[in-house]
Amino acid sequence: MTGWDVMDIVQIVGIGIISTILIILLRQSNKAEFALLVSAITGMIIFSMVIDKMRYVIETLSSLARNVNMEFTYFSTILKIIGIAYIVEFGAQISRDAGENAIASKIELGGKVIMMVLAMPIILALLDLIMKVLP
Amino acid sequence: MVMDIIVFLKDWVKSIAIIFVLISIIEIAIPNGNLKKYINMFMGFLIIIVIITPFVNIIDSNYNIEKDIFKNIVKGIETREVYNNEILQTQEKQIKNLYVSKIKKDILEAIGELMHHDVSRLDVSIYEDEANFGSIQHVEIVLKEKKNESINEDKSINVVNIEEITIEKSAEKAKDNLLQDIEQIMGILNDKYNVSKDKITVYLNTMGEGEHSGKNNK
Repeated sequence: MTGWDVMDIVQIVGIGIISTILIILLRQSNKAEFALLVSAITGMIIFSMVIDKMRYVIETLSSLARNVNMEFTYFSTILKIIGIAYIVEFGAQISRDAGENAIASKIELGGKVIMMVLAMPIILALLDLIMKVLP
Repeated sequence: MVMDIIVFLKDWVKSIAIIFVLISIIEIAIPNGNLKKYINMFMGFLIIIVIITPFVNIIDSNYNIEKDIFKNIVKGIETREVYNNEILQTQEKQIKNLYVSKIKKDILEAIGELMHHDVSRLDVSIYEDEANFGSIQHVEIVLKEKKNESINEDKSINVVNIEEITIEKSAEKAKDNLLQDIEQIMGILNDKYNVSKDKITVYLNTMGEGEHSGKNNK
């Protein structure tokens, strides 16, 4: 298991370095549009390599949360929010790399709004809880 | 009584410990970008909830925060469904249009070849109220005379050569043909779709006069 993980990180770093060199070469030969493409594809490949491991971590965490009888709604909401954060970061960084800061911040705005929507039930429930505690 | 307090404190401390372990794992997992502070705010709420909940349970033992959250989630879904209504309406409209066009095609096939006329236009309206949704409300058919038929008549005019009588004759014949065709259409519609005669309107689009389409028979 551990050896396999070490090989994985070597793969990931290797893909990253190779694509970085490729991008530098493309930029020098005045082909910036391909550079963006290469960076997006590299991001996707690394993402898909890691996402398997991520599933293992999440399964462990959720079984832990179930064992101690923690309210499951919190946990699933946290996981959703983390997922949104990852996806938004991915998109925003690609746009930022391409020099489109405006679009990157719009993507982040979308992520923020959706996170707020997810968090809203819990915020309302919290307020209700506080009102109940007060005599 | 003392045991109760001990169990209560034990559960409380346990849930606090678990939530902090989970949060520290999540802290590692979240990407470090602009969104980090929002996730932190959210987790702050969670800590407050976990700390407060046991005390609420002492006051009101039936209280279940998860039920509350669920209720709020359901409320959110309901408001979202209101927005979806618009989409549903357009979808319903499309389905209705499709249904009507299918009926039209079906009727055209059922009528098939008439003896003396072609169907130039066919309008079908359906009921939209709950009770008999989808059944045919009204059928409107516009007929026009068959071309080759009129050519034949022209020929016959040429042959007979007595104009006054032939015109009268052909007009009478045309009327007869029309009545025959209308009878056929009504019979088919009545048999197949159970549409009574007063729900069917037939117009004749007279040849050569273009726009003018007088109501000929009902």
